[in-house]
Amino acid sequence: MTDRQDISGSSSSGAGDTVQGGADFQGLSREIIWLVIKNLLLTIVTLGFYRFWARTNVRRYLWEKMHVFGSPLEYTGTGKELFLGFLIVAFGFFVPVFVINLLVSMLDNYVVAAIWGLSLPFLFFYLIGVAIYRARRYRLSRTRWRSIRAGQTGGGWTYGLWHILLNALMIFFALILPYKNMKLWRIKMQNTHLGNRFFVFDQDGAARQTLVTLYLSYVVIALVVIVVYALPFIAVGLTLGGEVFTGALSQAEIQTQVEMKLQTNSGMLTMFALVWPISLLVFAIGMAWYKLKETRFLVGLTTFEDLKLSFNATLLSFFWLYLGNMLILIFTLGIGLPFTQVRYARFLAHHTGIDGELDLGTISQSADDDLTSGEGLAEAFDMGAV
Amino acid sequence: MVRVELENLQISDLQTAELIQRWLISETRWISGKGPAALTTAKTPDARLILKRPTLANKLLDLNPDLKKPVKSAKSQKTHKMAWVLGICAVVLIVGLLAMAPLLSGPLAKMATDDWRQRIGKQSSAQIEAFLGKSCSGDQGQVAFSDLARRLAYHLPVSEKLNVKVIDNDMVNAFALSGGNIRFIRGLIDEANDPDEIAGVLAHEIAHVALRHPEELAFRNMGYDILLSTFADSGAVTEVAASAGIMLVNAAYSREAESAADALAFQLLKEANISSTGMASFFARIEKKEGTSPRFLKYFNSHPATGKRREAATAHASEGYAALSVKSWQALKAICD
Repeated sequence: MTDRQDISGSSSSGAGDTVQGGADFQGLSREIIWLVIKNLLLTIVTLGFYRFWARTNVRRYLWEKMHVFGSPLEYTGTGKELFLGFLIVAFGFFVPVFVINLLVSMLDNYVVAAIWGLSLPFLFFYLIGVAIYRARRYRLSRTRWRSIRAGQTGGGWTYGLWHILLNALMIFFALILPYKNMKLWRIKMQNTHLGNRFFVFDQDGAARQTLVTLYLSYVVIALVVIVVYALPFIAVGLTLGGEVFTGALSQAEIQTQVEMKLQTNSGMLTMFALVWPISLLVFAIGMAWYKLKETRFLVGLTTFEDLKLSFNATLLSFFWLYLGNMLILIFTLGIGLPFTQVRYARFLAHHTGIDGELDLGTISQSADDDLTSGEGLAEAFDMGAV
Repeated sequence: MVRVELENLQISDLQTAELIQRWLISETRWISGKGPAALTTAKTPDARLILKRPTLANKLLDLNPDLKKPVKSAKSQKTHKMAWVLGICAVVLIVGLLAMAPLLSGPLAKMATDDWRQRIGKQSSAQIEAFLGKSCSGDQGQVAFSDLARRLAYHLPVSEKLNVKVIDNDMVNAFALSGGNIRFIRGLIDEANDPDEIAGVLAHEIAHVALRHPEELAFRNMGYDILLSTFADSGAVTEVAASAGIMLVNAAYSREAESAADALAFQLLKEANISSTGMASFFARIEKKEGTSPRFLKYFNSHPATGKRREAATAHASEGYAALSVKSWQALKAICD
């Protein structure tokens, strides 16, 4: 018995073989309708325990449909690994926390209760960073392209420290945001590898320049929001004349004058009523604009071998993605999450550019990551979205 | 070019026809599904053979029934073993807590301190007031109501401090709460034809208090809370499925508790010398109102079938004095005015 069949791409890869092109997502929401229904029914029947296998089924589809340089990604994770990760966190974290909680409440000592009560939020917040990093490591280690394993090195505990430190600083000093995001991105990217080759962040030393530009954008947004918020107050001040600011009038006199103005001018009253929603809207649009710009810059500073990455999504396309995904989630009561992931994957592939040629001969297989389970913490903190 | 020859898969260069690799079909595995099919071999699991169409892979499926089985590695076997061990631990913990919660909640409820009972009772009565309305403040009605409760509770083996109140709402219902708190909803008082019916329901709620049923429920729910927050994810689907399960378990225990409370209530009425014919007539009236509901729903019902309760009440009905004087009865009827 003989059979002939074409083999896609070249049959074997050695030095000198190069590939180029870009990312292309070939999945369609309607292709996974039955998968989503099957996942839903089995999840209900098993009182939720099928969710790990359900998530794996969806990922396998998403990865398989994502083509890079004409070759699909492969997801090698299993539901069993996610289930194990969940059990390890349940027994290693939740059960001890419950037991300590019980002991503390039985002790009835307010010093012990205060120490425990104050340290628990810190522990949770720290573990969120650890969870983000470990979930990423799991997903990358279960991703193959042309059978070459991806992966992530570095410790989740270190990343968790940076994460909690920078986020805590954000509370006191919000201007740290551009620095924070760049730092965390740098840690993640520099530890990411495909086969034995690592991604590189800031090859040309342009990161500092970029940070300045990002800071300018960030300050511009802050100023616009402040101006929008202050506009009604400025308007009132202008109509009252300079007396308000010179201190010639007493506080009570200013108040009566403002009230009189508001009664005679209904437009001004509407302005005051709208100041909150409008400045919130301006803030949301401004932050989305900033986030896109930041992503564009951070992706642009990332390279892999001779490949330069780029990201070119516009605010409008991002808005449509976001709006559509929100509507899908609302109208399907969250069951349609995989459809939003298909849309998101298509958006990423469409807007991510990969310039240059990749010499396949320079990459060889990396050692297998010894992770036997995944994403327990991310699941615990409700971050196991994709 | 790929060729099937005997038990081998021969992979050779399309142009030069030079042989690249030879895979045993029995070791070949099909690793990804639709569209292009990816094959690998158990011997070198990093190798990939990507076929544009799954035609060949489908043919191989006839030759090797294990084609779609995953490639086993030391790591996957470790995951498998650990998942089984911890999975069994989880099942033991879940089943253990499910079984222990009702078993332990009884003794724990009896051991609970008055402080704790009062705290839980306060929380529940605040919840009832938030949902249904304020408690009524008719002085004479309150005196009559408290007095009736005291007379009914007098013959209990252990004395109970009771706090009975009427909540101003049209609902026909009554609740026994932790720490001796009993709440009647005004609709029930409006619905009653004579004070004996009120005495019947009150005796029933006092029996719940004496048997510590509200405290038992609180402990049981604490056990389920631990289970839910540890093992259920935040997805709406899981939550609905899990709470339906808990409702089912709780309802089964609750039906048992209701029967026990009925039995004690008959005894209390008899010892207080109050006519217990009111209970039977009250159940008869509710039964007529309820009509018949589908049979399977009875598993979700927290109370035994009203018909059964009426029969028991009729069997135990004992004669006695009227529960309240005409004046007191009028005062109680007007407690919310």
